[in-house]
Amino acid sequence: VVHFYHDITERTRLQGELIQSEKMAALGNLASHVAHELNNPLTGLLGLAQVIQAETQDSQLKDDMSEVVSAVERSQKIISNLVEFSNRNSDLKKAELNWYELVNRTLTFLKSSLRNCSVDLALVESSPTFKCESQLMQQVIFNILQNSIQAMDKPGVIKIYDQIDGNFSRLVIEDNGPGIPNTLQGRIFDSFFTTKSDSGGTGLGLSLCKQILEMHGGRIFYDGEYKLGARFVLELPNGAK
Amino acid sequence: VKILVVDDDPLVRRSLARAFRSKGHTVFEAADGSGGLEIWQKESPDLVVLDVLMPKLSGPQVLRMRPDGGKAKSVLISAYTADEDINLEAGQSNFADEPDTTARPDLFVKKPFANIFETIEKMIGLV
Repeated sequence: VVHFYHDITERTRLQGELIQSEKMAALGNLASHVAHELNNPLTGLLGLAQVIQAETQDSQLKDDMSEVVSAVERSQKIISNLVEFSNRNSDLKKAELNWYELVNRTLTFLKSSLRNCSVDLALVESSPTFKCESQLMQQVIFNILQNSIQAMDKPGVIKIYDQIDGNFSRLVIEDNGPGIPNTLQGRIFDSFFTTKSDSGGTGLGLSLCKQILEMHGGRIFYDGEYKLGARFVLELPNGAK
Repeated sequence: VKILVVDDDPLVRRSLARAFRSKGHTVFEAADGSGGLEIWQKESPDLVVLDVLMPKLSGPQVLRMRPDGGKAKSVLISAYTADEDINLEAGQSNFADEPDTTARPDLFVKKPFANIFETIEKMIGLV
């Protein structure tokens, strides 16, 4: 009796990546349409608020309109971030950014999910920059933060800070949730490894994060020494291309 | 200045109309391309502001059918972020290829406008 075995790991991985990239393309399309639908009324709303603000003598109404203007501008910022984040093809050119900018852009999408967490931000605005594809790097930050939010069953604290170590810029994301057991730590970046298959986890999130960091000449790792929760570290060479 | 604003979004129309009126201009409004053409014919405005994507006739279609032989200055405005509009924006040059020179807009403005008064000043500056 002769048995033939085929290793289909690579094929399954490629299929998974294909599904993921098709999903991203569909999301990009959807985001463009939503942006168009929202930009029209927001343009009108902003314009009208500016006209009323300019014309009225009522100082209370002037203040109210200035609140409306700020709210619309915030909404427009979220929309343009969303379009950029989801439309990978529209922005393949790399931008010169730092962790401060990337984290702040990403947090705009997570405001409501983060409602029950307190976020402790300690990022330096003037940190050195590196060249990166911002939407991919935002996706990494988004995935890590979403994992933290999902892992903490009671209101928790997420701490985000950056560090400079020689030629590397490092972003550290810590939470005070249950952390990842020692036995699983070695596998979390493997494609299709998930502990959340019941709730629709594909096991692609963290493996995608790893690919994105490596593509930029950097790395992502889980710091198992940290015992108060989970700690992920993202590291990129300064001026990474 | 006599201005025609054609946009299917009532808030955009209203805000532009109010901003223009607050500066003393006369404004006509239409909610779609064919309604815009009718008013264009009847009122012969000095400036026409057209949305790109509209029911019945699009902004560029209206421009091709303009009834005034090129007298009014024209502005296209759009909120669309997809590729076709990015081309359109780059597209002062795309429009430069438009064989009928009167169908080329004099200005393209992307929505949202950062400040409505600065935007209308730019438009009025064309006349």
